[in-house]
Amino acid sequence: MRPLPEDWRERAPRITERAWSGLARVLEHPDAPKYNRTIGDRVGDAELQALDAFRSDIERSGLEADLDPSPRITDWVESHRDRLFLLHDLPQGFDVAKDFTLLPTTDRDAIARRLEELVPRDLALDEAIVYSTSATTGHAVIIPSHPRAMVQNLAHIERVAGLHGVTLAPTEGEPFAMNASCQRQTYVFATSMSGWQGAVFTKINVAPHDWAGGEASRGRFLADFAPSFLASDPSTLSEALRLELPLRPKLVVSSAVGLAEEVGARVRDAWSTQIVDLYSMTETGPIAATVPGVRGHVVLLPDVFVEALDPAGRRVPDGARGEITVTGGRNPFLPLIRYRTGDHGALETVTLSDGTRARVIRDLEGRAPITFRATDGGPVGSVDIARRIRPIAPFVQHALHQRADASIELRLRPLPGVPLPLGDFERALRGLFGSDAEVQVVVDPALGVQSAKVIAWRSDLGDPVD
Amino acid sequence: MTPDIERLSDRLARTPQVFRVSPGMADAPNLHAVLADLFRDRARAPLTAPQARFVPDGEVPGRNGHLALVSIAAWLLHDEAFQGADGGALESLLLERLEALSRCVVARKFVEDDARREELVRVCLDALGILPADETHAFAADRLAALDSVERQALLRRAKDAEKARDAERARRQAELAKLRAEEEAARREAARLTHED
Repeated sequence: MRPLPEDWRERAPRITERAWSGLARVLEHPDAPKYNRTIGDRVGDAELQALDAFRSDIERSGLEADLDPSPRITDWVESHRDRLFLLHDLPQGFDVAKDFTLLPTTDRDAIARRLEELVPRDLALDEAIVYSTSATTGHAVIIPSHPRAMVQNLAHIERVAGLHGVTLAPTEGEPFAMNASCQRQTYVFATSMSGWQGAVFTKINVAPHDWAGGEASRGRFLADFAPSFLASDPSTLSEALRLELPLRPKLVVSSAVGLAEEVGARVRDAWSTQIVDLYSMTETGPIAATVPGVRGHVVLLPDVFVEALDPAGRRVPDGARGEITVTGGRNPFLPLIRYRTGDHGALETVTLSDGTRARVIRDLEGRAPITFRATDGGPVGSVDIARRIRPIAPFVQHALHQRADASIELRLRPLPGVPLPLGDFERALRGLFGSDAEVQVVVDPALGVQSAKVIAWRSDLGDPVD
Repeated sequence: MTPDIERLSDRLARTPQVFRVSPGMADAPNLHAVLADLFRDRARAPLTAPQARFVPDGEVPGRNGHLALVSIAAWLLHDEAFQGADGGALESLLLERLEALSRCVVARKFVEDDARREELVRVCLDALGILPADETHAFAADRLAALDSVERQALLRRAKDAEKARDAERARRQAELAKLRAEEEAARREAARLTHED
């Protein structure tokens, strides 16, 4: 066996000989994917301690359960006042606990244009790990994070797994966790995970061009690796089912875009697994997750406060739809101060089966609800359309586009083997837009294949006339 | 009603809850309506459309502090002491002076704090050219300057120096982050090169 190379000690400070031998087997597997990066988890003693501390925090602390933030959150914001340019100009007498709703909000645009206001002034950037996500403009937005924050996310996954009746049991040096996406280009690598007992993690691209031996290699590698834990997105999961990839994970966590119920059910049945729809974004880290017996996405993190805001930035009452806005988190490089996610939903408080009171986001929808125009000039809301078309037949993803001439095109990505009654979709759309509406429903198996983020609602018309 | 400082400060202290709801909440009063009532009842001319424009229709996050103060001031200005106010002067009070004030002190303090209550009353009277009851012009001007300057002038002086240092620090930080972005983009290109060898 090859001895543990020095450079891996730097990349993964807590890696052991045994963990390395397991990782080396995955890196040198004859059917391995075309790795394009060498990345370690950068988890050292301090990070492991932080993970353990967060595990006990999750176990012991209550969750934010009310419309207003608890002192834990307001004290945390208060502690950032002198550290963020963003909060420097708060007026005299400003009391975070009393004046929380007057705090400035932040958003993705602020990250793109004035990141220096959002990153604490006193932190050296040497320790930052940097993620980039491309905005719709194509201009890359960078998100600095810290290995500590990344490894602490494991505690959240463990909590979610527990609520789904799954106990994760990673073993040192054994393949355990996989992140699978299906993209033209993405990072492909493997590392050992010190936060999970030194088990092996790999990030793969399902697309055949990232496998030297093509589809046959992919099949053999996946069967050998046999991850117990799989992180992915709805588009890749559908593709994995269509390709009948040899996967049997105990727990699947889907994120990036909302998971349609039917896709979740199919994954559950095909792989006899538990599936979680995780609401998470690079900027914020995990926010909420689905839990059996609760409708919506539950906020399970004790240091995250969620509120819903109207377009003017005013907080809406429970039960009313608003933009999901997050305060808190544990990324030291990007503490979230009323971060407007761009996603919408309605908040409520629920009591979980173990008696914990928690906030739940109902009817979470990416992007702002868009209003389309019926042939009589009246408004048609995207939420209404979603409610009408979803029960017709299961599909993976959709994209509805109203063109400048008011005609409507609905593209649907089908579930493999499930026929779509196009006539029923057309009738439902005419029911909403008017019997004389020009409607076209197209089956598009390639929708979302290149990029998991599909623009679900798009209109070339201006706002409808009131 | 006379423009008596004590009486008007007392009115501020008793500002009804509805005017104190932060514009950061959905149940905040409709400021358009509040201002239209104010102009109708106290100004010489009703609120014009251009004057109404500074109250956002829902597109200007980040102005909540200013609007919170406008809401509180609207209650004060409804007092009969302000009867016959000039529309233009009222507009510039609400739009400019209160905006500047809201940058220095959080709106809530103009209800809760003695000195701040007196300051807001005097600022409103001064902006509308009304002399406080039983005061001379010189005394009123002095008193306003005292309330105004004691903390803020000193603050401003210090702020100026601090601001210079801050701008430099900010520029340094911006450059550091730009470098981080460039490195990440280069790494991405490298990964792409390794993936697509052709």
